[in-house]
Amino acid sequence: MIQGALESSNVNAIESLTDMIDTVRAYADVQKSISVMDDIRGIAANQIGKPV
Amino acid sequence: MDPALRAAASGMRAQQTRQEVIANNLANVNTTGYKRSRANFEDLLYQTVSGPQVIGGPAANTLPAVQIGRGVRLAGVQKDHAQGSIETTQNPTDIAIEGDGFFQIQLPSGQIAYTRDGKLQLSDQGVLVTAEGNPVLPNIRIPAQASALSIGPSGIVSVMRAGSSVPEELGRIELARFTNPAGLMAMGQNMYTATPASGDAMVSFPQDEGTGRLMQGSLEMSNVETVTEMVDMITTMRAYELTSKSIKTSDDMLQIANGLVR
Repeated sequence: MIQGALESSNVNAIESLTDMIDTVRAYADVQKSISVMDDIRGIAANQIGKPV
Repeated sequence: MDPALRAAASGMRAQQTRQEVIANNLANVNTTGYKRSRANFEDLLYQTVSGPQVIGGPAANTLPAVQIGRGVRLAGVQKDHAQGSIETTQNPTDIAIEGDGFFQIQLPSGQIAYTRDGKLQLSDQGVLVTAEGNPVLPNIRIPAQASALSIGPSGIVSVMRAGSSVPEELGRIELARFTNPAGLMAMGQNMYTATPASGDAMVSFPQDEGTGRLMQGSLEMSNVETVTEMVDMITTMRAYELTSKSIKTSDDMLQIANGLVR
């Protein structure tokens, strides 16, 4: 024990920020794939069977 | 997710650890008996993409394996037990060790700790103790009426008693040496404890069997060289910037890959 001292947090900024970059990119990738699926369904619903 | 991102992050972490070690060295630049630390790194595991291939034919050749490294890791933080500079203080209870050897200190728990810090004082009972009050082995007691405490280079402690012109020898200080002083574990307060990595303490008198000599009235200051630490700090900062640039580049590449589809 050391009197007059406090233990600060053991949060490693680099780990947290790198995980954040990973998470944000994974989120954007999944969101992009959702929007592409939506477009595909739009084509299937509206374009297929349309008279030329 | 992205191996390049993780490798760059491990590089940044390693440089941060190196900076922590340098900062500790600089904080202890005036600590008596302090020994500087040095962080050692090694490359992390390698991912073998394809093993060594033998190309068939009359004269078979072997292509080397294709390996990609995955970053850096801290291999160890090593203490450099080089001699520190000696500063004279004219205080009769200050002792510096010139050469190998550590003072043996008796802790209240019964364990023996080792130190190079020779800033000693006399307790109320006349025993030579460290600044925290732990006695130096062997417990040599200086009588209250004695004067002119003298500690010779070979450890002989003698005083002048009233009514006598010949110094009276009270005892002899012993020093402990280790096969591998870098293996000692630092426990703070300028003290070290023996570990299996350092080997057993080899106790001997000063100036015997390669042990150093004592210098009364002097102190061994820290062996930190500020110029070396400042230069290391500059290289660490540059390496930190480079690895952070590497992380940003990986991030940009992921963003471009995301933008491939509209």
